[in-house]
Amino acid sequence: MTGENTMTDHDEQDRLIRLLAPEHHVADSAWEPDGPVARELLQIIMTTSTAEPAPVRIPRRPGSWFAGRRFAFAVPTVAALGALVAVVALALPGDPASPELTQVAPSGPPTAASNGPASPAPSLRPVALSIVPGAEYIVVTIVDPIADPARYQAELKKYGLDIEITVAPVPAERVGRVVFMETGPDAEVETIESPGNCTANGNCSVGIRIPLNFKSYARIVFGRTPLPGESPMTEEG
Amino acid sequence: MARAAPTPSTDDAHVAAARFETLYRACYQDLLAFALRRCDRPEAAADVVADTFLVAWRRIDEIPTDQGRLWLFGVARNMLANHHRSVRRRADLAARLRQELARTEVVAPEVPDDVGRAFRSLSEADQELLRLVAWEGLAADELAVVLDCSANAARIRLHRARRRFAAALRQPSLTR
Repeated sequence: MTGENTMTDHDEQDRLIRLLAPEHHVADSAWEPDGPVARELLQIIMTTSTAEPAPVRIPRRPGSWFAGRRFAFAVPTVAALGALVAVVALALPGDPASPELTQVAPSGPPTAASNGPASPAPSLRPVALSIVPGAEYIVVTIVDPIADPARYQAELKKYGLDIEITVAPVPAERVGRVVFMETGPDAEVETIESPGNCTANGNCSVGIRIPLNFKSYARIVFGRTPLPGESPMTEEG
Repeated sequence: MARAAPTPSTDDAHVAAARFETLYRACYQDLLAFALRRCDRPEAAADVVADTFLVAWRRIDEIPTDQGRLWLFGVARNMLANHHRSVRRRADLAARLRQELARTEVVAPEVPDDVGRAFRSLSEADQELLRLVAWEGLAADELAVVLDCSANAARIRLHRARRRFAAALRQPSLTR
């Protein structure tokens, strides 16, 4: 007695089911693939390791990589909704093509495989460093840091930020991660974590985010690949 | 321990990066919409989008060129299943997107009660099958990619789901 297999009935079913869908009015800044939010997410994802992670979240816990250090995490305050974002990635030295200040182009940085086992001869990757005019945040991530980050230090200074970024040789799994952070009072430095891409003791950091109106100070050490013959910093630092 | 990325040549790395960017730009809105429609709160969709694209980034070589969107839907379905039983983290990849999505205005659907009731009386699997067709506009062979089953199985499952929905629509009072 049913005619439900006819195309018309299918269309009618689909129409009814479409009515059941909630409608979402998303801010353009988050909706547009070329908007600031989508671009930031793209940038962060593409600077994470392409190595396969365990699909779990491992939040930071006491007694792990920051044990005994004085440091502070600020809860991300929602001061700059809709703001543009600046992205700074520390890059390799000796890459003659490294521009000092480059807009992150759609063709983007290549894959970063820097969290894999240490390679004595890491391949060169282009610099990904950009500070977008009008940005309210700076995002610092590491592509494969062997570099002396002095140049980027200078960029941060230009923005009046009292932020010292250095790198230290570390075991392979901590390359590109925040291995030490010390911040002043009220410092809104937020770590960007990639859950599922963590060290054995729960360091999932892949970068930091700093508001450009940052008035405090911060000292941040990222892990880098040891040079040949160099011993990596131990867990105790 | 992370398996080493297969130290691709710079060319390969560029190709993979370009492929991923193309996929990301082409599918970002579809995936975001997919996630938003299936999450209780808009903010929760941020994790689904970020985690799904992260998986895609790591497996870009495994994604069939012409099925990127369907592949992402399939991964996102698994993400959604995981979300329902996991506590989410604070600061992470998706922090910014989550902040932005928190401002999203959600307009609840206006549907006759008996339609909603009939739909909710179906199994979750039937509901999702029908949603994928009506909301995402997938055809049966595309369903097969998302659900990771044969096209034939997808057709049969869809046919049965439609039949059950039609039956439920005819008897609204019984589910009251």
